[in-house]
Amino acid sequence: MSNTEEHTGLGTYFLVYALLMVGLIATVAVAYVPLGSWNLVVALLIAFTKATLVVLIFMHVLNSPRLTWIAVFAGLIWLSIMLSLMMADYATRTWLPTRAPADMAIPSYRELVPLSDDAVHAHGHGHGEAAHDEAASEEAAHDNEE
Amino acid sequence: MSTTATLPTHTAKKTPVVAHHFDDWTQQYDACVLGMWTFLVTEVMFFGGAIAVYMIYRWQYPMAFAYASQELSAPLGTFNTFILLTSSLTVALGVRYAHTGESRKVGWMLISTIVLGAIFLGIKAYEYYTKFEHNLAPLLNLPFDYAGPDPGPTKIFFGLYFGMTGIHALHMIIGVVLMALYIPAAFRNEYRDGNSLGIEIIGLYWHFVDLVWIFLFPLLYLVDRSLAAPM
Repeated sequence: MSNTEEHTGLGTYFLVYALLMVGLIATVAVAYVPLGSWNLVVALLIAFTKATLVVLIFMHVLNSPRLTWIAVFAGLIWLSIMLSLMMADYATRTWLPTRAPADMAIPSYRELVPLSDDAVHAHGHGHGEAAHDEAASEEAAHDNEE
Repeated sequence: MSTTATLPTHTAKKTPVVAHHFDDWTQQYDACVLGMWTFLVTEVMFFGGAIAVYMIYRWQYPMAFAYASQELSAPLGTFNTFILLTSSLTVALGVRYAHTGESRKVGWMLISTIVLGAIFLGIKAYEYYTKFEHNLAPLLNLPFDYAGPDPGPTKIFFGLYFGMTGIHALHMIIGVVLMALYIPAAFRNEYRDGNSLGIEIIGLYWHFVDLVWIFLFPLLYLVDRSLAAPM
């Protein structure tokens, strides 16, 4: 509250307190109602409502300058980024095919960028023709595998 | 009353001393509140990390968490939430009395808040005691006996329970100590001029502790109660 001469009325505090109590009773009551996965959603919605009341009225954010609002929303946004990206990671891990650990080894540069025919040819000049053919056929076999 | 003319009248409020690097009291007030909120945002991220761990494990072992949550006492948790919300009201009233310059009422509100906080911590300690008694505390290499299915994820749930409520209780202990430091000033009538900044800041801290509990209570005590209820 930037202007200390402005006071939130006592009645407002008691009203918020009463609403928080209603929220508490609702949270406990709803927890025993079988709603499946909606139980968590409802519990979090009630918790967010209670939290909003506490932040806006008890913590005076409603009557605070915009700079305070920015700080509050920064916390909310960073928290949601952390939770949503972490959940996105874990929730999508099963989307990828399961691979054997040996296949997950980092490929070598030569596996990623095979020698071109010209390079094989140029490279083969220093060696016997047989060695060159062998290397070329190996290269071809490797390509077929891919 | 005419003979006591030398006493300061109730309405004559002195402006609080402004630190030299602020233009005026409003600027100092807003700056301090913003600083406290910045700290509270770091606290949000601190508790948020714990909640992230909780989120992943609950997502992976939903039923183990539902059964483990049954081991916590919902009535005690509900009562504790009631106590903490009430303490939030008393501290909010304390801040308001500091705004209006009713210094002694501030003192009484702080004392009420400390008493309520102590009740909360006492109940929490009793809950911890029962968990230790039932060998459900995955701490200090103590034996962990859980008869139900999935003892591993259950152990993780109780690890999170002790970790999250433990750091929450630590925050409460710090809050109680800080509030106790403000009580003498309140009874020395130092808030008669509406110099409420210190009370406002400690109030913000206590409300934050309350906020954390608002989320911890359904996340720890009320996990899928309807699913895990005995058939």
